[in-house]
Amino acid sequence: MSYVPHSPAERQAMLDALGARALDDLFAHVPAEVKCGPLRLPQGLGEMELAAEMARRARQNRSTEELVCFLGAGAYDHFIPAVVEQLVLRGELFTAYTPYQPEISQGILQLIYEYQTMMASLCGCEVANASLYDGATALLEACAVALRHTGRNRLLLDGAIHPHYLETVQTLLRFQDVEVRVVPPQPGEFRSNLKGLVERVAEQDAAIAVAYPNFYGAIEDFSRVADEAHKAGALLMAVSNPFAFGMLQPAGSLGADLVCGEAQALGVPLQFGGPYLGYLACTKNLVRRIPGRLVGQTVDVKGRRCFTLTLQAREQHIRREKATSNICTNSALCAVLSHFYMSCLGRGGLRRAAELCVLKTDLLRRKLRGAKGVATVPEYPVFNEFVIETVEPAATVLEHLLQAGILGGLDLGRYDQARAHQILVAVTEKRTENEIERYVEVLQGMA
Amino acid sequence: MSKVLPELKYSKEHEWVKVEGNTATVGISDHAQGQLGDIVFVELPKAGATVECMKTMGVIESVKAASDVFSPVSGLVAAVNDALVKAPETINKDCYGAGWMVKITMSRPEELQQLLDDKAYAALIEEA
Repeated sequence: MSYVPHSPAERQAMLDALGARALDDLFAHVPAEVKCGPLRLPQGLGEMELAAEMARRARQNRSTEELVCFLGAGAYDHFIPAVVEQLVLRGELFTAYTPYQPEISQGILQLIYEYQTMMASLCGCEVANASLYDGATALLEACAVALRHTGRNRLLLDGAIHPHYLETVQTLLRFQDVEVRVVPPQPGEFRSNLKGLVERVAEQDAAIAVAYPNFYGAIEDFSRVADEAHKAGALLMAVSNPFAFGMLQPAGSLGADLVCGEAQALGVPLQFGGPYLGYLACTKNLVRRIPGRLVGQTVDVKGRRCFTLTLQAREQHIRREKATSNICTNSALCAVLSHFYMSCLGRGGLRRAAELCVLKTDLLRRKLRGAKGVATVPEYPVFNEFVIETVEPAATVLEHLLQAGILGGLDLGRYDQARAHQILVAVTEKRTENEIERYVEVLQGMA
Repeated sequence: MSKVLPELKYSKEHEWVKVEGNTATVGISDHAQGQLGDIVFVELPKAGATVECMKTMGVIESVKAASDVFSPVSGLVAAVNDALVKAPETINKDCYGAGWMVKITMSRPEELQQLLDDKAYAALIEEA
């Protein structure tokens, strides 16, 4: 019997109703270069031959198993203790979602509650939700919180937020009567233009968003921007890599009302780009405006500690079109991964890992200063990521490094033609001194 | 039996209105608070906001449900009972007194004629 529920006649009826001739018409808007096309397999392969052929093709993918990774830009190659993955593979936990009839699954609810507690504490906030899809969605949802809370319809965004996040926010707010103003860094600068944000904020703005650390790795005390935002009656959103809070002052303690972004760095493997872990933390007064799931602690009829989904009137299965968001799930599996990772490392371990990132980043940065093939290494305070300007185009340099088995970083020319000689380089605690030295050697060996 | 005060007017959505000159004080009825159960959260419009007759002006959330609060008249919000934000249970305890929600400066007082008097409202909740 066929497990496909729709008969060819039913499919045709649906296509006719849509005015489409074939199923492929529905995917016509997807650019051809991102479609994998037909598999082109010979007819009649046995299972063994098929598996061998597919394995051969899969080996064309290159991963951090084989390459030495200095690429970051929002997703980082940190060390994850083996116990983290082992724990998450347990059958009780191995689900992508918050379960339906959630209160039956007290174990998962407890883990999500603990994840929320750790995340809130790490960010210097009172509350964190049960997680969102990814960093870009988290920023968009934070914007929605600010727009609802203030009843205003204008946003002021730091242009040094990850370009994909900015693009996502602009795309999704395009038809919502919201004016999005982006303030890029000053020409030739890598630091966020905090002065520009302060000068522009006005009483029409729902919020200012600041990246901390920003896309170029720069870190700066943004508390003055928070003060000015609050004076104008606006909120301050910080877009952050929470791994950095192992060492940096948490964004919440610098005056951010909402702290959001991508938490992949906290225990989620790179896994070719996803699934990842969007997070959103905030002050308590915003808790009824935030999207997604939220687990709370309570007591059962016998007075025993237990966990429950709470404040669900925010969600669409209760409030329909008046819900705070159309998100009514979370990245449960990634949140649980992150829980185990943070639990394994503990407060001290997170701090130590962050310190190692800073030290090793600084080591590579110093070694690249004055290296052959490097035009300049711009000076500004960073956490684990920085920019270098190369003599040759960034794309050429990165290809050369890749030939030597090194993922050398991100070609910033992909986002801005004026930056075609700039590479964004990330260094995690995983990189050894040898690997750092080899990066410099290979780069110098180009000429 | 829910309390219905004779000196007030009522909307079909269970808001009550007390008229003093051009000002309408608005809250929810004893019947409404009883149906909702323990009220845990109230969201009210800001003072100075414009509200329209029978359009949503706020939200009441109880342990059982989240419900919209409708403005029974059009006008400008002159005052808001901010104490409810900290103590929403006041609506359960004293819905016609300390549990008032907003005072509205009416822009179309003739809208009051569409509201129910105490007898008509008592009949409405009797039916339900």
